[in-house]
Amino acid sequence: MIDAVLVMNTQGKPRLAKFYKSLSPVKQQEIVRKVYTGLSSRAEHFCNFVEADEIFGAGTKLVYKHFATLYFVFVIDSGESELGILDLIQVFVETLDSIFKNVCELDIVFNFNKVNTVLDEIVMGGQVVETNSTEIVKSVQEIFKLERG
Amino acid sequence: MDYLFQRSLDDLVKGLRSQAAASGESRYVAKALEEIRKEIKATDPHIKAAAVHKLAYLNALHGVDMAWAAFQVVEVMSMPKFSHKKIGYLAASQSFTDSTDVLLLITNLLKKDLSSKNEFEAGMALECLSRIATPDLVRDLTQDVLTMLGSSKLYIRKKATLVLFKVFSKHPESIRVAFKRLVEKLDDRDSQVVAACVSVLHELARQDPQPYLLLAPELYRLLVESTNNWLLIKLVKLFALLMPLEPRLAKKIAEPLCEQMRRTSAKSLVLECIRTITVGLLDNTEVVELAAGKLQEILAASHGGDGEDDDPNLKYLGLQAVLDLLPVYPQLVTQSKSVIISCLNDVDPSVQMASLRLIVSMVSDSNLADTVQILMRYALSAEKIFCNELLSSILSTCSRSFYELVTDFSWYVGVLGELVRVPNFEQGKEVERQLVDIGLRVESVRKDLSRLARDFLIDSSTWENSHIHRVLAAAAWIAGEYVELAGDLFEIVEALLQPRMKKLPPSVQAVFLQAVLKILVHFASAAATAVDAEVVDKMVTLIRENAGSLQSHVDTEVQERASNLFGLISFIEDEAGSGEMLAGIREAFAKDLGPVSQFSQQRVVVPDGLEL
Repeated sequence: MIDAVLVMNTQGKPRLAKFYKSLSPVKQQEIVRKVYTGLSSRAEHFCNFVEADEIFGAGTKLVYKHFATLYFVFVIDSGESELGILDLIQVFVETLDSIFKNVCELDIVFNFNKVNTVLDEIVMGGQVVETNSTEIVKSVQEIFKLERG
Repeated sequence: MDYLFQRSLDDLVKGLRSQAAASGESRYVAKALEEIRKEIKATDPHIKAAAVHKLAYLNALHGVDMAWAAFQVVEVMSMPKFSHKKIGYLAASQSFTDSTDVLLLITNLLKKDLSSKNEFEAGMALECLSRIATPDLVRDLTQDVLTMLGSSKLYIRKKATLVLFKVFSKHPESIRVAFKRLVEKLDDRDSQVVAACVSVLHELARQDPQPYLLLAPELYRLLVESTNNWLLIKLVKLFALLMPLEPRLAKKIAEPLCEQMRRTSAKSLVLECIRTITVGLLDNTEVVELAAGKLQEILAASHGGDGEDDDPNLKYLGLQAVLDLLPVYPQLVTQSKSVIISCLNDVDPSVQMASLRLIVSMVSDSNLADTVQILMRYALSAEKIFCNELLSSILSTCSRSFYELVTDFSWYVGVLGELVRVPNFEQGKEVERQLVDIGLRVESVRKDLSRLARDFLIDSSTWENSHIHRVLAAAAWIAGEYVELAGDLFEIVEALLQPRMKKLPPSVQAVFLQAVLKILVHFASAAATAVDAEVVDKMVTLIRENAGSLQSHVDTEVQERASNLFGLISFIEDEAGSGEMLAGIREAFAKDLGPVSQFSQQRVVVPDGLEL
């Protein structure tokens, strides 16, 4: 199970925050801060996994990737494969890349709606629904078309 | 209100970014919230939807509560325009909880959207259901979801399949009706749907694996035939849950599992296979050999040489996997011993912890001393948090099962002494507990403990570290309790009453005073010669000088013990025949205290007539 997906910048400002467990907004902000604390002390050559027992409960881990000014974080429990989820983060970022043409933090800041749409095509209710970037882009473009009306 | 003047989400974002300070930002958010509260009441759908959109943004990224707007969210969800509806659904998914009352209103809305001809609208409704489903909603909508399992569109089938997990979780009775339909998806023509199905089965099996055992033949077929990596990962994890229930299952899947391990280039799958093997196939030597071989490859790949091309992920996951295989393949550890130990020094805390866990699990009574030495060495140079992880590991490993692994307690007492002097030491409470515990249990080592206690009390340079204070309490207790084994009693009393002790926490001071009392009783009652009597006088003078003020200490315990002490002194000095009394007190203290079994209370017979 994926407990949460977070995108935050290297100053700790959240750019995307989706929780697949019911938590109050106050608790969510607290978690974002704790995750940031856990990640900001890590150097580049450290592994992409951090045990998150104190933040999300026993057996949970943060799987994260650092791209430029952003951290992409998937919070998982023991039901997920760490390397598998790491690949999934790659898929997420590549999808954003092809939609926004070399995505940068600003794209994510000004496209709250679109980024959420992309994520919803990858993870649904804490489970992975699609792993193929091409498929995801196809669905997402259809949805954008419908939104334009 | 004309919507031309309404701030859009874009404007909101721009506005927030233009705020320099955090205080400016929260003022801006408050202002935006005021505007939203007005706009959200508008009848114009565009205005209402934009307001909800902004609110959802603030809720997700700025912790703003939006439970008060639940009704308006439902209104927006019901709007005909797709872009508006989508905003409503986004807001609902992230803000509705089990206690949101308007949930009663959306059943029909969801029903309608679930059956929409537009697959993306239906998908939206499924997504929302997967996040906010309540037992009532599920009960009313199960049939609709089941119908979607038969859709001609892959998009619908895969999402509907995934939602079944929520359906079964929130409304377990639905399993009776829907289980068969879920299982049918194992035969779906599209592998994404099959993957979704296996994913759901796996999540359900994590809570209770028994009902899914009967699917083993189907799952076996998939294990043999599938090439979808994600599907295989979930499948292998599912087998790990099923194998403990049926030993023959392990034998059956051994071969296809190995085949997948051999064929795949995905390390993610290899590691999951190894994990599954450690759950149910550890008695199959061929399989274990293969797994160990693959793990060797992974560990080798993780070490580029001089730390340059290291793959930290493979290091971390590799160490975890070695730990899992340890029971049957300890050779792996000996073969990679130096690598594992060097990982204690790794810059990455995750790798350090994985390595520590592995080392601790390799401990036996024959290698305990060496292991402790290694851990201690690394603790000296480690930074605070990991240093204490190392020390804590030493303490818990050695004290495990009433010190089962320790053969030489004299050595262990020495270890405890060394531990306390490690620069970042913070394990005061545990060391205190163990020192006293060992004193109670291991008579032969009480002399070593006394010596250690004396060293701690005399060398006050270590007193700076506040974590030492509990250890000092233990030291004082030991000095007082095993007073016959102590060397120079006067020296110890001096140490216990040095001016510095007044800076210690009251609870520690109280123990110090009690120890002085015990020592004084012991010494005074044994004083036979005139020389001895002189020393008693010196002791009494010392106590009067240094501990006098403690009789009026703020802390009641300290006050009381100081008073007891002075009471004893006046008794010794005034009573001519105090010898007998002193001997009596001394005898009371001489009785050996032993550890109390945790079952002792149960053994106490409840007297007749006592109602508990």
